[in-house]
Amino acid sequence: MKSILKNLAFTFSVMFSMPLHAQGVQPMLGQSAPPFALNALNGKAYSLEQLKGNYIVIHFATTWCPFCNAEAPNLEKLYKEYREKGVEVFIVDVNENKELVEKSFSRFNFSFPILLDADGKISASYAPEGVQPDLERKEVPIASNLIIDKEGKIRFYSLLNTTAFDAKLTQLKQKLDELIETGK
Amino acid sequence: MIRWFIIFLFNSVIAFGQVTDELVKVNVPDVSVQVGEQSVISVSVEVKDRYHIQANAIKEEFIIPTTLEINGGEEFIIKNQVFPSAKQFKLEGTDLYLDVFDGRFEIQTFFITQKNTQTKVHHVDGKLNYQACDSVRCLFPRTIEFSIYVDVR
Repeated sequence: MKSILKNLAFTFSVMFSMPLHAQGVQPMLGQSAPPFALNALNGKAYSLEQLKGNYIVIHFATTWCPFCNAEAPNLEKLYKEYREKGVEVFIVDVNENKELVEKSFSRFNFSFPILLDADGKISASYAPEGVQPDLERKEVPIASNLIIDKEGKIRFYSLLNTTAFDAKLTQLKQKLDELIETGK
Repeated sequence: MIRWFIIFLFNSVIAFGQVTDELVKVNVPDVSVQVGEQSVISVSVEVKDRYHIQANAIKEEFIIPTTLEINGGEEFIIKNQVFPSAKQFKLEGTDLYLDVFDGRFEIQTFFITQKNTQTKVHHVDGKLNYQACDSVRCLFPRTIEFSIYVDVR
């Protein structure tokens, strides 16, 4: 009995000391997505409030982030595949100037909007509490992908994990299919 | 009292030619050179365990390369720099590889003193610019500043 308890204690201590990424556990699921109101590169304003009723895919990115750039063509593919199903895709660029973002992302010919989070405040508001406490909060969501459902709740949140990097967005698509099928 | 302690700590770091931030440690030994001669500054860089920084020569335009800036002022003419060979870091799930540095490596900067350079110990400013990632995060670009003492004889 004593050894069972010992093993259990050890297992729990290992589980809770591991980062969320390593456990494959997604943060903030079921929570209301933090509100945002941001301008796109083309000057158009977008807010979470006005987008309610759609499925929203958000990718937090910077121009220098290699993982973001590797994923970029697949985000465009995803948008083309899912836009007829009520899915809106956005890149939220974190803490960079418009000219640089424009120049860098023009090579991908995105047909969805790129939103400018110039001071990183929106990114910081999406940083899950307790995750990577040593970082500036706006750094935490970089290279993450989220799905926000029609009611504004977070249904998918994959933080960067380079050892299981899902550049083709396979897991995100699976979750989207599931949500669309159930109409949630 | 605290102020004096901080000054003592700061001076200790400078005396050993070592500057660190949370990810990178830079070691710079003092350099001696004859007036009008060439010499080399060897900056030793140590990247925190499990992290990598982008290499100096990179294939993709918007990735931020590692650069070493040395401000020689009017006394020193900075010539070429020699970086180590980069390592390949595979972006899982893609066919892409990044050129990166990790662990401990050295960057050499060759320079020449002007013929009219004063014989004394000169204080030269250096900056290492880098962008780091580990397996679960990519961090904003950072700069680590340090001093190099060049003894011109």
